[in-house]
Amino acid sequence: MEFNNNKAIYLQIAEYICEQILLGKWKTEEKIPSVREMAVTLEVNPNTVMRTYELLQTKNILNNKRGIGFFLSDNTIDQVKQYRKTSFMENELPNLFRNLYLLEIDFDELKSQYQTFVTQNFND
Amino acid sequence: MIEINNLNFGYSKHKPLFKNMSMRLSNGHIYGLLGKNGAGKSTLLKNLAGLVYPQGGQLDVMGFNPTKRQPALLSQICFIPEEFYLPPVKIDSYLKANAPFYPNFDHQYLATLLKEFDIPASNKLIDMSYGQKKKFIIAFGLATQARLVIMDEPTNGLDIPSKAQFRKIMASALTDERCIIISTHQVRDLDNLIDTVIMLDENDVALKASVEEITTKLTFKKVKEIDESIFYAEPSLSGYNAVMPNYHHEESKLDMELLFNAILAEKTKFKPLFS
Amino acid sequence: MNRFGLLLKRQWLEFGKIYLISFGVLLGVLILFYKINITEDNLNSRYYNSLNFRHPLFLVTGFIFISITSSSYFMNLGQKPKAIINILIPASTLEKFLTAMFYTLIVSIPSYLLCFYLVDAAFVSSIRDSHTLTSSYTDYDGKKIVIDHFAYFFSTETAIQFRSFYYMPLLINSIFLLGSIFFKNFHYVKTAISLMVFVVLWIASTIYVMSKLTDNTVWVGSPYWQDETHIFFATNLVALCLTMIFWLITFIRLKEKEA
Repeated sequence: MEFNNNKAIYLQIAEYICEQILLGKWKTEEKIPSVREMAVTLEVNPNTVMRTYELLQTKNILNNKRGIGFFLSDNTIDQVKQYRKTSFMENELPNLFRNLYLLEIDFDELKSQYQTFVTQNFND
Repeated sequence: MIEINNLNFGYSKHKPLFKNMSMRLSNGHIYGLLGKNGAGKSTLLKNLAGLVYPQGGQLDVMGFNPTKRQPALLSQICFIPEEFYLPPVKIDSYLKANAPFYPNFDHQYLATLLKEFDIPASNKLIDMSYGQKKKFIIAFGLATQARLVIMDEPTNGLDIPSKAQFRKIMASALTDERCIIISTHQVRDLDNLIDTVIMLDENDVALKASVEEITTKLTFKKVKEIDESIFYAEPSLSGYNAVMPNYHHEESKLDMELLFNAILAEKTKFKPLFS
Repeated sequence: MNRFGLLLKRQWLEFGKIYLISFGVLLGVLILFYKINITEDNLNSRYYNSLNFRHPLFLVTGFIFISITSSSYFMNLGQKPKAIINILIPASTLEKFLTAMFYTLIVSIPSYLLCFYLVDAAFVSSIRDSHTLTSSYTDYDGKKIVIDHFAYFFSTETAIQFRSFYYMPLLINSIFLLGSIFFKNFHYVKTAISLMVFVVLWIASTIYVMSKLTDNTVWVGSPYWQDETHIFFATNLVALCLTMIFWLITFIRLKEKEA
């Protein structure tokens, strides 16, 4: 996994995990890689991964079953969407709005663009 | 794990390297030791391992005084020096001669590590390249299960795939009982591996803080223009890479190189934040 | 104790090679000297002194072998990377020192004597198979003394006298062991030169002081120091004390070695 320079590593790992969940690679109520395994895969400090897992726990995306490991919670997909949505609204939307404003992009134009994108990428 | 109290050290009386340095290191962390050439990174590591004698102050490593060089402590130290020597023998005979000194030596783990590093166990140590030898002593050192792991520039001489293997191995080597200290110039090789930064400058610790603490107090980002809120900035393609106080609780990524240069240049601005 | 055994095993890996090479060279040199000096001509022309080369040979090779093995033991500590490894071996300084003593004293000296004994035995027994050469004289008591000129080395009169210098190998060992840890490089040459300088100074100053003190004087004290055995005893004592002191300094240097 490539990290970029804009965001704290532990948040980037959280996004990576959310992505795995949304893409269906990890299933609801399944056990996910341990902190150590994840740290080794990503070549990062285990304490950083631990911080990510703790964050995702507070967002109800993960459950820590003591002595066994971390599991996805039963409604994990909803929780991920909720978490991503908040994060998107807070971090990325202002940027998008800024560009829309500066470049004077019309909402109708945006809407049609959006629909073509969805059909091209997700409707097959 | 480690307690340093008022450490004074210098190779000659007139040129002290450390003046009244104090610091505490605990287990469960990978400490990244940074500093300019000659700031004393290797020397500090040697003090911890009891390879040199301080002129003053107390050193406590796992309850031992390292200068006494007691076997019970030595068997809990894995020290990977920057320049090292391996005798011209086969891996097997090296292991037979050296492994028994370490009560917890894990041969299984060593085999795994050597496999991960692509070193055939039948090799003769003398026929191996510098990088392979380095990987061998790292693997041997970790297999001793020593609780204190000290590495001086471990990624020097490793090729690109080996560096990735090294990071994986170190990520798996960190346990709650272990304390890992790595000195490095190649910050980018290791910056995601380090959880606490120790910076040496001007005979003392200029900064010792966890990555979390640093990014809570400081933010690292690209800016178009410099204003007085910025502690330090370096020009880049699209403006400036800047360090500034984290007023808005931003979660930025620690840029270790930038921080390093920032502290060397603007020490006084950082002092009040980390004391 | 178990750890000491491990250390002996481990150090063999480092020291064994130098030791075995020195031993091989020693063996070669001894055989060579015996071969050159023992010729049919020499034996048949009934020279009484045809085997006398053995005494200087014994002293010179003995000095060189013991000094070289002692001098090479701590040689590694002069190089930082090697010193680091040695210091960090989980064994106590005492154990490391005793291992040095084991190899440079307990292994080196007897193995030298054994080597000389065996080479001598091999050559001399083959001479004795085919030649005999004795001479005899009558001593003060009217007893007849027979000298066997083809005797085995260790049963010659001179070799037996060497025994009273038993401390010499220990002293040489202690000097060169100290030299190997004291100097960072060129241990052997530096130790040898220091030794030479020291001996010359010592002899010169002794002669000077003694002649100053005793010029135009007569001995009026007890005859204690007239007796050769007492003087021998005193020199032995001094030599052994020096040896102990050198070993002690070596131990302290080893303990305080930095890398």
